[in-house]
Amino acid sequence: MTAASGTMRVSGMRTDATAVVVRRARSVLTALVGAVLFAVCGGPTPSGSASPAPFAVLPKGAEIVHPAPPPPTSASCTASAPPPTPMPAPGHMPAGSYMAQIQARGYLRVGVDQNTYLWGYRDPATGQLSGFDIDMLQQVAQAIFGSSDPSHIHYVIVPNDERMEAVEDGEVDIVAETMTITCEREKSVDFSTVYYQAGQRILVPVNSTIAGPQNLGGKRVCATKGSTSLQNLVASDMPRHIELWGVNDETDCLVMLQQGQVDAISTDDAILLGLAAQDPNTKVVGPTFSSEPYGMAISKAHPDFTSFVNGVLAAVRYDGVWTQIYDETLAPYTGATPSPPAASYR
Amino acid sequence: MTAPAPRAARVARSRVATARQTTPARLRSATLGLVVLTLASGLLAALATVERQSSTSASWRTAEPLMVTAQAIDSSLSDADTTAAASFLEGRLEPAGLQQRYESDLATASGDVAAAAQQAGTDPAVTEGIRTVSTELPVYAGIVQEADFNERQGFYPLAAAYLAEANNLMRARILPAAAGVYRVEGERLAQDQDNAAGPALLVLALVVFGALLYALVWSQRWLSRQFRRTWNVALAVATVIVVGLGIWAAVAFTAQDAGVSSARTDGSQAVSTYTEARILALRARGDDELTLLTRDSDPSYQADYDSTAAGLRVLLSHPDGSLPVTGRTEEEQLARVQSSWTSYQVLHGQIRTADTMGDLTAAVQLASGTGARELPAVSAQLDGALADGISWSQSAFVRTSSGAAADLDGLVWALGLGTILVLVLVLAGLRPRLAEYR
Repeated sequence: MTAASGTMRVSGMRTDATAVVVRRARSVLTALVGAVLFAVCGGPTPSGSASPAPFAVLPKGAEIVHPAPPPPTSASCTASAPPPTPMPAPGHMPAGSYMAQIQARGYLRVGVDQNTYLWGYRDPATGQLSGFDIDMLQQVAQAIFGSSDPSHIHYVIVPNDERMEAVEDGEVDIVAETMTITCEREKSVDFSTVYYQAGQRILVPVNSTIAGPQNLGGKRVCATKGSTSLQNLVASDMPRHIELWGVNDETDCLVMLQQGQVDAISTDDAILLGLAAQDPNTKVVGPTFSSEPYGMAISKAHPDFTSFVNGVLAAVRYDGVWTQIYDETLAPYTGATPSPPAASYR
Repeated sequence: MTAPAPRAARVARSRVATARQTTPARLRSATLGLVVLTLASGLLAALATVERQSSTSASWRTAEPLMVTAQAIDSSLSDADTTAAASFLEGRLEPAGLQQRYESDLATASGDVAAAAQQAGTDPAVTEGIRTVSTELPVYAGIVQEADFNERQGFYPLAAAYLAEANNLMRARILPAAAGVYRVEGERLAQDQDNAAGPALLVLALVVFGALLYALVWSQRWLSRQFRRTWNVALAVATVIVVGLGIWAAVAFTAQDAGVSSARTDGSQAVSTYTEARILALRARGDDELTLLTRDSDPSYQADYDSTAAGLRVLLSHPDGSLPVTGRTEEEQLARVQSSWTSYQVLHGQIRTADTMGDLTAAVQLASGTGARELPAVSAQLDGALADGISWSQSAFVRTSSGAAADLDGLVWALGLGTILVLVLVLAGLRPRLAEYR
């Protein structure tokens, strides 16, 4: 029993006052259940006095992984189609364009994530999806329909490893899901111009001695399975002998960090920002050691739509809407608002 | 010196032989034989009756309650897990009703684990399962608490991740351990039911009983030839009583046999099937809720829904499933469960359609709303129908089992009384004849 509760270190170190009250109230039940059960299994039989073997509760699918090193970095592929001239007025899409089809349908189908805090997640207060990616997509819908009526946007939750297929198969019109523009992906889908510039960093508990990638040797580090984040951690310039843990979802990394099962999480700073926001006892450390330009993915079948989206992004960069969205979603956690990333056109 | 000894022995032996051949000696051995056979068959028949009666009683007094307890642990845990997911899906700060239900589920489960641990004795298969449940349940509760804590802070994704971890612990470790306990208890019940219908002592009693009947008839024929009387009234009455008891026993045992087998099909098997169905239905709901809660990271919940639903379909199908349809009430019961399950599947389809069509808000509304055609109500209806099926089959089990045991109640007394009566009649029939030689 002691061994079991030993794995439940979790966030007892949090200092938030309400949190303590909540935890105390709820722990009465756990204590009660534990007491009854202890009386049962620890009491009557002589063999019951031996404490049960310790076991680790891990998030489903968490395991040690051995990723291949990243491919050698090639030229940037962030240049995208220039905006149309003139940009169509909201609610008046040119006949024959893909935007006109969307307008006729009545709603824009977007692929999003509901589990990435600050980017695409369900706000428990409103029950609605919110986040930086969601707000950006709403700008696109508004530019097509000329209204911010929520019925003009249909969200499809697309798992990370199905983002490409969802776009290619036309299941969604557009994906905005903390998705890095890579030359490899560019072969299958079109990307908008960069709407956020992210890079890989490290998240550790506040009292950790890890200050950057150079300290990761011999440590347990967590990232999403199959991600480039894991690959970057075995790049030639990284310390040897990092124990890499792969999970199905980045939030599982935070669960493991809180349970003391890993020493650090390493992935895009944008995602780490959302994880850090959910645990005030963590901090993002070290330099950015990769470049992750985020773009919206659109099918290669609709180049006019890619061009239109770039027009929308150009507008939000210059009319202050980008800054406004940043201020509302990310600034509370980053402190300062950067200027929007510059667009690069083909 | 050597000759007389064998001769004396031979003389003595022939004297014994002659003595046995004399009528009084024959009368004496007949009396002794009948008395021994009467006592033996009375005793054996009574023992066989008591053995069957106690096995029948054990099945509903001990084994079945234990199995029900073990199954109740399983249902409570499944319900706790589904309720936890439901309260997160509703997104409001833990609706009070769900919170209470989750807590009472855990309290019920831990109380039942305590009860099962006391009743289970030292069977290692059971104690191991109980140990797993009892050590890991507090850990489970701790993880759900962590999820709750994070949800209250507004850290929704982290809350969902903890909830998924708790669900995984429940499904991968705790529920299989609880299921192991009830499988063992189920086997024990089946063993008791086999004993309650088993022939063991009964065959022996039947043989001795046949010998008694034969001896009675033989004695009467011999007496009527020897003493030139057509009827020995006492022995004739004794024969009638023995035959009567035989018929009574045959009827009572047949009734008890039928009772035990109907207790098995309408009762304990139906309890098991309904319980299993209830656990699967809760799991299906959990799959639907967790799909919406954590879909981005785990599409495997829908794969699990498909296999769970397939299992449930088999359980509830007729006639392949093992649910009783022997009477009107059973038929109505099953029909109610089937129609609730159909409604659930329709709703499941609507939720999936809304979700895949991109209308997440509608999907979540269908999965967590308070309307009569939304998941909480539809699922509660199915769960209620299955719970009624469990309690109905269980009372059918206790009724038929206790009825089966009661079928043998009168027989034990009749056997005792009959044995004394037959003894008295045997002595009454033979002593006057013996007295004629004094």
